[in-house]
Amino acid sequence: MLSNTIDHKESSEQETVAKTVDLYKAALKKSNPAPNLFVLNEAAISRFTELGFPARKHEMFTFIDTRKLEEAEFRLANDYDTNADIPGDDVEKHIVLADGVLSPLQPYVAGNDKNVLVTPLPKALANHTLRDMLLASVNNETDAFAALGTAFIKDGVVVEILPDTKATMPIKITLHTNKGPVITAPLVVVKAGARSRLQVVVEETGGGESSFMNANIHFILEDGATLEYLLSQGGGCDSWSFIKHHVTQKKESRFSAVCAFTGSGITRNSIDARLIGDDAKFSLRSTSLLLDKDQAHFHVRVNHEAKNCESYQLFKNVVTDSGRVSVDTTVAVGNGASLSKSDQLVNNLLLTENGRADVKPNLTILNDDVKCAHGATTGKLDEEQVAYMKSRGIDEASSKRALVTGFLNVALSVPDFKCPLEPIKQKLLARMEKANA
Amino acid sequence: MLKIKNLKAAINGKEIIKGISLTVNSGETHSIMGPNGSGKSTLSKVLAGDPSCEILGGSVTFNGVNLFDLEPEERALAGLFLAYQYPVEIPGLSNREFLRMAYNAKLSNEGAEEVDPIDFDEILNEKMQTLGMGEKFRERSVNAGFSGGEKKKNEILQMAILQPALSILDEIDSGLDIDALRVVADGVNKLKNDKNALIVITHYQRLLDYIKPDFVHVLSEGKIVASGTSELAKRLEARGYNDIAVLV
Repeated sequence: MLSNTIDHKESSEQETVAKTVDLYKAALKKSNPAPNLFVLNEAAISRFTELGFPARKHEMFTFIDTRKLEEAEFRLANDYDTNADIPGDDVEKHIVLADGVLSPLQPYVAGNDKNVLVTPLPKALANHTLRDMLLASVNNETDAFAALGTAFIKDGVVVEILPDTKATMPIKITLHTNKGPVITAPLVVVKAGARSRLQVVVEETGGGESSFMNANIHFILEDGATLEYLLSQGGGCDSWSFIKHHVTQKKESRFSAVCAFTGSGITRNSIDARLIGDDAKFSLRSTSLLLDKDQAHFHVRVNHEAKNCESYQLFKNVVTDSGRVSVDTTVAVGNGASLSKSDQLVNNLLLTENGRADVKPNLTILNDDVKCAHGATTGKLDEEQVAYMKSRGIDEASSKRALVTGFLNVALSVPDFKCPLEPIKQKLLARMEKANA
Repeated sequence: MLKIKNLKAAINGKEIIKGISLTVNSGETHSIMGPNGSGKSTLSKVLAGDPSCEILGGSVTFNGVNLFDLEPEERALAGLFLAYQYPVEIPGLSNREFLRMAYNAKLSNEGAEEVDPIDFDEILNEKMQTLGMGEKFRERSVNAGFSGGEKKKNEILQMAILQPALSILDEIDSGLDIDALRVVADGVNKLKNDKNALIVITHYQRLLDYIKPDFVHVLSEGKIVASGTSELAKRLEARGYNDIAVLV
């Protein structure tokens, strides 16, 4: 659709912003978005302009060298060929956003579960409550890339489960990025009605060399809703994948997420969770196996804004070769959030001297009656564990492989989690084989 | 089966084992007793091939093979098993998978075909039933979150799966209550036969009420200072380790 490129090798941040805005304007001319989407795009580019292009000195991007993105020559993705093959098992049963554009909904997805409504974003935005919610989110955005993603949205999907219902099976969403140096911006909104129960699986596929997927995913949990979320993130070699999650939890809701880095390239997983209703519970387990020059960066902020809320975070990262991981996580307990409980634990395994792990756990507590803990470890494989396995006749290589797998599996051991974890385990095993090779 | 001649060994540059000689034959159960710091656990570590141990002198042969020529995993494959005093926890690795890996390593070493998970489950179930272990042990991570008694039981389960020629039980009674001690000891006794051998390391005579030794050796300051039958253990129990000089 567009041949414009971002080529800013010598440009300043301000010039980068200006050129990005130019690219945005050119994109608008070509795509001619629906009025409701246009309002969102405009608000987002305005917010991006206010925030500026994040340099490395920006606290939110301390561990990512954004200059590489600044220097990259991206073009906007063409509308995706809906006849093209999307990798993955049973992909016909998935909701597919290819290069940010929603593929025609297959009957299996569209009509499988009467309690689950799947609506294309432009149509869903006719509901002004949703539009206003997204606008408010953009106007309060502090993450420039999340704002940029919303500015470039051409399409998206809204999944809603009705109150007092249970989904019969997980909703699977594939975010596919085409080959080449394209920039895509998919948007997903998941609304869980009061006392509903839903599982959502998001899988990233494709992501050719130097592609940049910049996605926004919103979860809104009404009173008593339970939502389980499984993310498989990472594109192809040298690709960039940024996902900003916006989680809003009302009274007695339960959000349980398992995130796995299973692809390649540079990923950023940002989660901004607001526990605004009493007795809400948030849980995040994350596991990453980094090979070659892979990078996985996590930026998490959990805001306890109501009473008696709980949050739990566990990160298990394995770094090999020249991989790099960072975890920047904050739990903020507000003034009125008494009886809050939170746990943050980050465990990194550094298997090579060239690997790197940065951890920045933070607690901001404005209430006296809370129980919050955080901890982080970074180290090599436990020699005692290796020795124990060898004492049972298991050779060193197999022992180490099993120990690394076990280390990662800890984050995948979630009691009563209904999303299918086995494919994630298989992907991690395949990556382990690659590491051994 | 096992011949130790004038073994001397150190940990962190400090000589702990100062000349031990001991012969263990098939079908025998030997108990090694002694006070804290006498070198009991160091002896077990030396035999298992713990890299923290430095051999200063002497020799050890296991079924005619120089033990020091074998890596720790090769010693295990040759039939030597150490039941740890403090079994290591491995979060995330299921007991079932760990045991299957160990069992398949043994089969592979013997030139036999490895077993798949389904076939292995049958073997595992049988052993667990024999030892009175609940199904929860199968899926739980290796020793992670286990009580002291459960960890020791799990060591015996490994022993049952691998059926080693020589088992060294390093203070398997430590941290066990009376009932757990009986269960663990029963498990060991079920595995004992005239083709294998046991070295039971303990502080207390009480364990030997359950696992009857053919020989009892008293270790003090890195040397065996007395050897005898189970009567020796009873005398130790009555007089304490402070009176070892009387035994010598």
